[in-house]
Amino acid sequence: MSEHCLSMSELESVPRMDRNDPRRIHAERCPRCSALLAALRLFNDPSRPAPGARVEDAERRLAEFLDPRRLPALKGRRSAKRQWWLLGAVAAVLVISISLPRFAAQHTSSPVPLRGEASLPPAPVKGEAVWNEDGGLDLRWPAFSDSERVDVVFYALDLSEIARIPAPEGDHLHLDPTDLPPSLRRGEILLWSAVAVGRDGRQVHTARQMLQR
Amino acid sequence: MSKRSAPSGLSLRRLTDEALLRRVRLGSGDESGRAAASELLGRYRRQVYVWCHRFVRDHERALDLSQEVLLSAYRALDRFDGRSSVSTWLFAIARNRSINELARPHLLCDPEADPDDCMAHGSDPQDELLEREDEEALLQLIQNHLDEEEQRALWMRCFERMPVDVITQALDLQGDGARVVLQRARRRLRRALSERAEQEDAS
Repeated sequence: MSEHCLSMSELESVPRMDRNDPRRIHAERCPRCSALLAALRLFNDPSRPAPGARVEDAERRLAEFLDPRRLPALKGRRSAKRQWWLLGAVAAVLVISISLPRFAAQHTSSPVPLRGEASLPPAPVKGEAVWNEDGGLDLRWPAFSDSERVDVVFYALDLSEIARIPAPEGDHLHLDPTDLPPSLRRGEILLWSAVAVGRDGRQVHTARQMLQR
Repeated sequence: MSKRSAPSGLSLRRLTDEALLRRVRLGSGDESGRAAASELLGRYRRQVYVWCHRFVRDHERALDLSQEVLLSAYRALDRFDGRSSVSTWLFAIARNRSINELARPHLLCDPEADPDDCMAHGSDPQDELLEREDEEALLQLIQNHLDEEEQRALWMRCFERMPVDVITQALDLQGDGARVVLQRARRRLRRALSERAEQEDAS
């Protein structure tokens, strides 16, 4: 996989790209991308099954398997009503966490230290990595304030940097399977962290956490 | 408050994939969400089965694998961001599962594609060296020494783990097409590796 290799969603649109589009030129020449393109075309054409396939039987049995009465409930997204309840709870926690230090400051003799004034730096915050069913990876971390840009950095176990991928949204990054560093795709253990660069060039990062496919 | 009634199968069949996805998200916990998911994934069950069968060549095993693919997709449906079509997303899941199902063939010795060559070379020490190279270095090696058809066929065989006749089909080759291309590719690759080793020895 090279840095020019296309993601699955880009590969899908290659046939609609202009002939001079560099992504199309790459996809047609690169062994990996052109092989994936041909495989995708084959997936979309089930009219030529391999010998021994019993397509009608498979269709009937898979339709039974997908019977909505048998499918388990999806756990995923919460209903709108539940989301409002959750928002209410979050808002209440926020109000308490903002007002409590002020209240304490007004009612005690010693000042409450402001964030960042503590003598020891706080432990780096942790991010969260979730593998998707399609082999993609979702990384999330608390947003940094006042950063010029944020990158996700992958490190080998000796802490040498092996890949740096910009995270334009600042607090999360989705990687398709094809976007992953090759060593991660091969099942090796890596470390990752989100690194924010401030306007003055200062860097802050989340804790380096282990990651394996 | 009246409860939304579950839509009939007929009305769901008229909806686009995108509209079904919206329904899945709106009703993920209830019957209407399950019905929309069933209709959506059911549209691709033939594609998924034919793909899985191409890899495992056994009806029951292909059905099991198809069910795994569809169940994985069902469980991930409400996280699917819609950046690609449902079909391409399912392809990614099916491809991943099929790759995990089969062992990776060696780059230089592949009994399915080239039994004679394998007997002649036995376990090739160069193969072991190649296995240690990372994907990017292999890509470079393949690109430098093989033509585009050979590159594509070798990649499909070794990294996508596709059976030889499926590669023939995917690349629109005739008869034993992919087998011939793969044999040629491996011979060239062996020659290139020998030359590289000689150069390294000389320096």
